Amino acid sequence: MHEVLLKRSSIRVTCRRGALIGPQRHHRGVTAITLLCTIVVGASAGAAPPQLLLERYCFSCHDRETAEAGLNLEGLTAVADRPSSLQLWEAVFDRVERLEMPPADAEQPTPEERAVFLSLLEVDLRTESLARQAREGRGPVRRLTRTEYENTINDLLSIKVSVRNLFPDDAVTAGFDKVGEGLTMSASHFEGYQAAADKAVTEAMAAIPFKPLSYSLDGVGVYKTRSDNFKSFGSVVENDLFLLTSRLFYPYTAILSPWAPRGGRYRVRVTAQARNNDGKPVPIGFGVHSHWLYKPDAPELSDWRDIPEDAPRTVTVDIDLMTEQQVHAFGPTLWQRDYVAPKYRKGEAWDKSTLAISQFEVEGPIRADGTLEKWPPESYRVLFDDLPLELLSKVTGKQPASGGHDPRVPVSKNAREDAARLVRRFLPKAFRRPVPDGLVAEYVGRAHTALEVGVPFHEAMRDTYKAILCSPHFLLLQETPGPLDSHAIASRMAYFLWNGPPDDHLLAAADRGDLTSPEGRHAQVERMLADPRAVRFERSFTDQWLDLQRIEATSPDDKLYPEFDDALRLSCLEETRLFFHELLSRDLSLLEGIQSDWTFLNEPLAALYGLSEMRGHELHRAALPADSRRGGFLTQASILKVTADGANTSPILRGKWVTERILGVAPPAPPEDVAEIEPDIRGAITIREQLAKHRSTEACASCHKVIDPPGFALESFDVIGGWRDHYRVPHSTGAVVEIPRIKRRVHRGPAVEHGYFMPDGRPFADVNEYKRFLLEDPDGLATALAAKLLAYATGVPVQFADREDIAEIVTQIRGKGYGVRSLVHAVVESRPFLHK
Amino acid sequence: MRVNLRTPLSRRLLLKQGAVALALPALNAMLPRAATAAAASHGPMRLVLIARNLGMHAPFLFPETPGLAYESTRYLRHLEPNRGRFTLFSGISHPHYHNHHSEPGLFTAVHWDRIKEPTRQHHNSISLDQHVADRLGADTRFRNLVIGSPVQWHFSWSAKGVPVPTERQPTKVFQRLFIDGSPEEVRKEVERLKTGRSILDQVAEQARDLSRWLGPEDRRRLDLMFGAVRETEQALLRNESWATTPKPNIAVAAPPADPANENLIDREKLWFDIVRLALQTDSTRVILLTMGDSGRAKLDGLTLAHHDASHHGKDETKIEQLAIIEETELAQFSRFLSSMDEVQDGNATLLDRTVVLNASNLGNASAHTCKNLPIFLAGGGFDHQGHVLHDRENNTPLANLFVRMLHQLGVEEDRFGESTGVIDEV
Repeated sequence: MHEVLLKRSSIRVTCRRGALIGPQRHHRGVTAITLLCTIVVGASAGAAPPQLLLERYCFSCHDRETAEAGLNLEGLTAVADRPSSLQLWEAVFDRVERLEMPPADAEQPTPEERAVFLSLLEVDLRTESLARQAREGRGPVRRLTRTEYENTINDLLSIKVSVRNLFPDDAVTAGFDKVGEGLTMSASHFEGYQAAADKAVTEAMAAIPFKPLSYSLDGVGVYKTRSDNFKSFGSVVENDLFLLTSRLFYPYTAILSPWAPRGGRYRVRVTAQARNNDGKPVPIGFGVHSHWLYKPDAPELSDWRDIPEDAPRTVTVDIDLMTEQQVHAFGPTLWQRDYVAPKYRKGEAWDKSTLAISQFEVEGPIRADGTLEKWPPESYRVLFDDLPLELLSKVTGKQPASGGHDPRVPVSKNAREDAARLVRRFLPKAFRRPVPDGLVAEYVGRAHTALEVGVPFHEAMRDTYKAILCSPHFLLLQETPGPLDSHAIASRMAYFLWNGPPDDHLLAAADRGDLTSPEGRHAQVERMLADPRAVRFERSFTDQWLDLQRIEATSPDDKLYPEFDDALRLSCLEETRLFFHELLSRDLSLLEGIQSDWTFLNEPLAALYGLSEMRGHELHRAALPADSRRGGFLTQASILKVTADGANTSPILRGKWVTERILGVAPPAPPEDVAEIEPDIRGAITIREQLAKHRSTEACASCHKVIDPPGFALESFDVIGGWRDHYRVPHSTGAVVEIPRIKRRVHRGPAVEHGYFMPDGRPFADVNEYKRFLLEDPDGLATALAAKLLAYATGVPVQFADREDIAEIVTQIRGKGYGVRSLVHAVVESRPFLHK
Repeated sequence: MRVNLRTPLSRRLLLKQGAVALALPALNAMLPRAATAAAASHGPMRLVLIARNLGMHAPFLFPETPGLAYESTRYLRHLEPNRGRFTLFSGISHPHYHNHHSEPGLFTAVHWDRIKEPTRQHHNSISLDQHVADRLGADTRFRNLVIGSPVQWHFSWSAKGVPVPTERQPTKVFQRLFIDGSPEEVRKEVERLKTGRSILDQVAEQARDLSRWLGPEDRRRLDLMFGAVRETEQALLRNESWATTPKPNIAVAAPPADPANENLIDREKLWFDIVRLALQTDSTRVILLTMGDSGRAKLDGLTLAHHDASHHGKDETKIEQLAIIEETELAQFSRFLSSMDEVQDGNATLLDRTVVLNASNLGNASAHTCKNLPIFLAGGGFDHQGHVLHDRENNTPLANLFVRMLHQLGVEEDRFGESTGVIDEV
């Protein structure tokens, strides 16, 4: 043991071999900061021990008195059992490693000094982080998120109900709603769990018999469903064809299916041909219609297809409906805004673009195997197997209230045995693991007790199933510190790749022990990614990682961006989702997420991007011209929109977004004493001028050096993702910007400067050159995405000890061209994924 | 006691009645149970918190002159009928607060560090309404209400940093407050609550078992869960005891439908009416009402969405648009105060017995600053001062006003959140 005593403000710094940080000590009645640190004397000639380095290079700002940016390294007593101080030391490590600290204008350590400091701190941070993980696991035991909960009861019971709104919003921690630290539980959760379980079990018992929907109409048949409405708005019948006109009169001119008899997946099939559209296809849109009273600005639209002019086309779309919802289909001015759409007076003939519909079919609910659901449905068999159903009036001997339904309920000749058998069968699926006899007995006992006091069989079982769905074994993901058992691995894989519970196959694989081998896991991951449920992962991950969930958070200013409409909003979202799906399904390089020579486009996107004209609204993968500034996520309209406001863009917000989400670096919050930059869109002063003033402060400069380059690289794009050479302003300047697609013009403001400087001072002329700089560090980009996926997959943000594992993941996928699917496999094989 | 649903009035008529023309039975006759005696001379104290999240255009709002004789401003002229019944504070804010996502702190007044990362808001603490409900909420059908639409933000928080969900459908709130179920529905409800409690017993038992094989950190979390289970049981027990007590008869038809979000005037009016009726019938004594919409309201001359107009970037036409919205909101608020003042409560008015705070977490939304918040304190029997001017550079903590409000509500505590003292001008 080597001990150095330093006197500074009566503080003792004790160093000993083993750890730079460690338990706090009290020394001779004085609270000492006890930096217990590894000193390898003479390891590097002339290098000073870390505490001397801290004192020499850091304390002039970060000592007890000054505590610049609120950081008092002198007082940071590095207490091992306080996670917060570990996090601070991690931040110290990162900023010193990235050469951000000490700041440029302060005295700099020699490269050797920096290296020694970092290597010692690294060893200690890792040791401490690993020790904590071994004790407690990487993160706390966590409950299901409300999305996971909803998917779980729907998958488990083979039903489709919406229950997420019965719970408070889940807190988002470190970018993801899955992070356990934020998933607290309150009384409102338990009230919600009961209400949700009640709703789910009721739906699953399907007490009212239903017939599946199998609906098929020809053109005349469609017209007859609501001929008065249709006629008033120019939608008429010609020969056998129904001519569908504008959606602007929604919902009068929408085709509506009958109400869904039951929640589930419905298949819509339409045969139609377009007319009067200058040879271009006309889109037909599909969505969910819930109630007549509410007339939104735009109908809900979940999918759309192009109908060509030259020949009829049959299109098929699957839509999820809850009970008492309808499919609506509409066109052809699907998304046009009022001033673009043709003018029409009620009762007039419609001579604009039209959809001539010859067939309209809806059927469902459709089961996973593609067949039509029948009564009693699959969900009934999950809960009651093959037990017969009987009219409730016969069970109770009481007639239902007049006009009321007489529901059918399960009955049993051997109620006790059946109760035991059904509960025993259901529990392992509900709890996602084998269930010990004691716990089975608890629930069987619950059912038996009810039966003994005369509760009818169906009521006793309903109550028992509800109780099971409120159990902590159902609500919590059960993991114990150390390596996960195979059932915990199954759940992790399922909530990662399906955002829902493991299915029978996966549970069976866990039972067999398949999931303890890399080959077994690999096979399951491949199977799971090929399953339709994988869409939930793609949606949920991109919604959160790329912030796509904010796509409607602000609506672009009508006056400044008149070309923004629903077509663009939905198309840009679709572009990003398809793009991610393409990376994942084809194992394309994650570097294509920075720069690609292809993307997914349709007519409105191609127009927004200034590309040659495309026809139709369906998105297709398309090659981009060599000089295009598109390709990769950063320059997709969706990303540029979610990082902007309705009228303003801010290089600060966009820069922060890119550094956090793409580069994987979280810039600290701005110091509190710095004056705000108040946006000024009048055009007299540019954001660059405002920021230049701002950056002259040293406190600001160290972070802005990092966040400004991406911010200014993206400043070339407006709030809806269009390229701009000039800002748009709300008042006349004598100059205008033309918007050819909609033949409108807006006032032109000052010119936009396109280039900027990288943190190291190298200039870039535009976003393409900026992207090339980013691609110089493929490992860094891979590290960032791996960290996001790992946090999402495990519900725990990356900790210091995980850095080595992430480096390992990156090494593995480097050999596989940085493929995104390979990355998913590597995450599943990583130590953090396979340990609590 | 049933509300007559046979002849539903048009909403316009209903709202009109609700505001002025409604012939109310003597208030005491409607007070259930224990409340009646207490209310005979001194009605219970109540709290209404109104939250908005887009600030208010300061140059149009704040006068320069302090005191009751403040010079009226473009905005304050809408509150002229209630001069003397409220105090507008300037120079008040939560220290260090900054930007949107300061919503969670508006009524919790925790240190900014605890919530400044939008991703770590579970470090938030109890909000004023919940804190007060713990003390005033025992005797009424509802411990408190968290209502309003259509804002997505959470202003009401439990002590463990869990947001309390907002009920966003006025029709449902109205039904829960005033419309009795059929005897069969009541029986089922009681049954459901009993089953609920027995399920919770089992959950608690299992949580205890589980925590035996967990590490200390996870045990702490299970303890929290255990606490939440107990809290739920108490809530179910309370509901059970009220389930068979008829709801107050208010002789007002239920609103036929939820007003659309864009229908700002009807929507806010309906919420204000529900607040007043809930207090008047002593169904609850603590209400947090969230108002405001970032979308586009249907108002004469308005073409911008509220969020866009509030982020005006100093553009004058946008500021004028913003003023259309804010003036409408203040006029609604003023009508609410008047309507509360028209209800007699013992020897005072309902307004006198209700501490009303109307606040926003943003000062200037265009700059995203949280200084110089628009803070109206109304009713509650305060010695109102019209306009109280604090230092606009070095703001006084809003929590100091919360402490003053607690005192007025009979809660003798000298701290709340990050308070540093108590505001004593009112």
